[in-house]
Amino acid sequence: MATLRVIFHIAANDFRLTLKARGIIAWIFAMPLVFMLVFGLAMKGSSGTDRKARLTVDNRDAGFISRSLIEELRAEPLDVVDSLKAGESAIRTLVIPEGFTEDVLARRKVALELQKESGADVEASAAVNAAVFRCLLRVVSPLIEMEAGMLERGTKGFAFKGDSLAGSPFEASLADPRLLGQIEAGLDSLRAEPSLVTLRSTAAGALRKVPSGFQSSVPGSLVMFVLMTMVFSGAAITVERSTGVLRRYAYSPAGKGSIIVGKLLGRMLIAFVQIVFLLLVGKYLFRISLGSSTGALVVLMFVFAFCTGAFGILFGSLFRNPEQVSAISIIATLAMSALGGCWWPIELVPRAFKTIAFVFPTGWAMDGIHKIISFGYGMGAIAPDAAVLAGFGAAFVLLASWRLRPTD
Amino acid sequence: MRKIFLIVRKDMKRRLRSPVSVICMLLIPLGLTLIVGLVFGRHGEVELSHIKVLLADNDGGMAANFFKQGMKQGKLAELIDVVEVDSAEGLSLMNRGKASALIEIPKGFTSSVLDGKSTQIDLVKNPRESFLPMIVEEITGTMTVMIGGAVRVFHEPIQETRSMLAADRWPTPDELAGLLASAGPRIALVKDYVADTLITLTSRTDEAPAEKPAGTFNFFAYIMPGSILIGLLFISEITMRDILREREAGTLDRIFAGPVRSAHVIAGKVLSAFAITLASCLLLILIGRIAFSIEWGPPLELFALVVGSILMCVGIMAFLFGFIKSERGADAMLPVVIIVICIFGGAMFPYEVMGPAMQKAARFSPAFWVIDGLKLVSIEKAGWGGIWRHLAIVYGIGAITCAAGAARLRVRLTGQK
Repeated sequence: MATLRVIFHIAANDFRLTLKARGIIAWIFAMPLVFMLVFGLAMKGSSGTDRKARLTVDNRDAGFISRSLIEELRAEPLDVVDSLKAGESAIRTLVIPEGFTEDVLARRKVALELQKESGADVEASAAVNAAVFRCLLRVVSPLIEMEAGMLERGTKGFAFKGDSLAGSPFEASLADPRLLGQIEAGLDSLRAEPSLVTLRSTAAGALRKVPSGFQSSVPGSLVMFVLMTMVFSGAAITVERSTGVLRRYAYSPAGKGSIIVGKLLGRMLIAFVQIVFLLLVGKYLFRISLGSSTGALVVLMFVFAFCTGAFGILFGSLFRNPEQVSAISIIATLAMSALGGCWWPIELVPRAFKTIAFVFPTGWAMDGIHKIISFGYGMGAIAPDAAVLAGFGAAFVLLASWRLRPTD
Repeated sequence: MRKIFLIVRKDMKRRLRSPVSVICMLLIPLGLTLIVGLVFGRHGEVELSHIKVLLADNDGGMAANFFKQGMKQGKLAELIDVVEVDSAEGLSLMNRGKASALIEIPKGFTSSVLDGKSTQIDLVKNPRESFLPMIVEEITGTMTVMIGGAVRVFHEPIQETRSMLAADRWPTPDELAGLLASAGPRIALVKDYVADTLITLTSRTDEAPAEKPAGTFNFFAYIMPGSILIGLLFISEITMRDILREREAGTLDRIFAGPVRSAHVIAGKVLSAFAITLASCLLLILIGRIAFSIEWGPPLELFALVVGSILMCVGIMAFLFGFIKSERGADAMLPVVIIVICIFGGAMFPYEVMGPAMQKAARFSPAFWVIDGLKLVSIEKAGWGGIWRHLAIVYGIGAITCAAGAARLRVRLTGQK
């Protein structure tokens, strides 16, 4: 009972001292928000659902085929604009050349140009490219149907002779000016018919929901900053070693085990406060899904807090100079976060680095969090991640208790 | 002048005796550069491994086969690894995040398409992944439009062929002639668009004219400027922090007991911070050259930019320390300020990949002008004409913050004296 009281006393003291330090408060609450925001905005284009790629249309043609093309573009998930406000950037411009409709109807070669400004989002530009191509297909295939009908009806000025075409719909329209209006009406009517083949997109997992950009940035920032807070808190142990505070603990009734458990508990409390704050911010400010299993999330975050808290104590036990600890802790946390998949989508890194991610607790934490918030799974799915994190934590505690000598 | 020199010499000797903290700070930019460089390769091209796409064909008909073959043709084959599975196995693999996407072709797909009835292909995306499922979605979406278009264009010949095949006899010559008469013009019409590229879509990116030789791009040169700036800000922070530390430890009181004015101390501290940060920066540049093979570009322009950047870093720190009262306050404020400056300036996440709004916001961070200037010099080999604006801004910020910081510190130290 007395031991427990000592442990809680040490934990409460560390918790109180940490929350008193304004520097730590900034790291716990303010910095993760900045990271979530910046990384989330940078990733937004990738989700496809968050932000529409912008396309400025410079239509120099007055005909109905360019009008049809623009209508199709407006039906795509694009932000199509036809005029720019003062100071506004075009980003991507589709130039429809003068006489486009006439050239197509005359079956003359014609080129559309998609101009991209330097620095335009590459992904969004690729999506725009694909969308323009799809829209062209949607305009050209009914046009071919119309033209085939004209050939079959034996329209004057446009015929199929041998195995090639003679004349064009445009030439035919010279003989019969009403023909252009008929082609336009026919094209509109065919385009209005529902698509034969449509595509329905869902996401795998229990949630079946396509994630947004913040769905990646919130877990990444959470994992990185909890780790960073815990490792920085290791510097406090180094300070306590260098100033003799730990030695004073050692001469109190608290044993070495109680000191370590108390310090670990104090750090886990801080980590939990930070985790709860960041998850709430993610849910209510960045509107991410936290999955459907609160229990699994609590368990995973508990073992992650244990693992990182233990890592912080190990860090504090390894170094004697607080300046050394803060510099090395920055390097260590940045490396573990980057390699663990907190900075960039893990699918983009080479195969070897996908494996390396699981060398670090950050990789397991990210994997577990995504199972809960992206796939919507529960306790069963995260059991391996939780077990590995607990294993990491136990190993860190053992190493720290071997290294840390409060009487030094 | 001699007094200032003595203060600088004392600080330099002290740092040389105990260089651990500066060395640790030097490790930050080196570590960052190394990690990003290792992950994305020396040339910085994200070499996407083949996108693993599962395909469940529940139809087995002609249209489904057309779709499958389309996914395995030409450039798509270089990008996508199509693995055929059944629906249950595909969903099970997707639910374990084992592929980027699953395409499910429904039962009766071909007959629906040939009958002109609407049908739907299902795409199940991996929610853990951000980029690859989107690529698969674009490709699949385009394929569905192509199939729909092709079936509509060839609707009549297809129906004629189907009725011929349905009849339990050989087609008559008249039927075959009718089929050819119906299909021939359509094939000719399509051929003009497909083979003769009647309408082409060309892409052009407006690039600023740059004289960079092809194939010599070094990704480390792209990321190291940002990493260097992070290191320089932290190093100037720990060197300028001496003012607070010496004030709290009483060392400044002892200095002021001699014939030294606050202006001497401030000038000495700023100069020693400048010298230590400059030495660190030169060391980083040297390591960048030797370890990461970065060709830093025209040396005079580079040196001018480096000196301006360090003046700016030291000036910002002098200004901030003019307002900070204790080491605890410095711990609370400075890392946050440094990281915010660095994030928004593109030191940790290249501004080129951010949205247009963030790219504009980056220009309000002093870090942007250092990073962009260093990239221009090292990658584009820009001369004075290319970086004059960067130099003006960096030296301007440096001069203003140094002057304001010195004035503010003087007030604080005069009070101390």
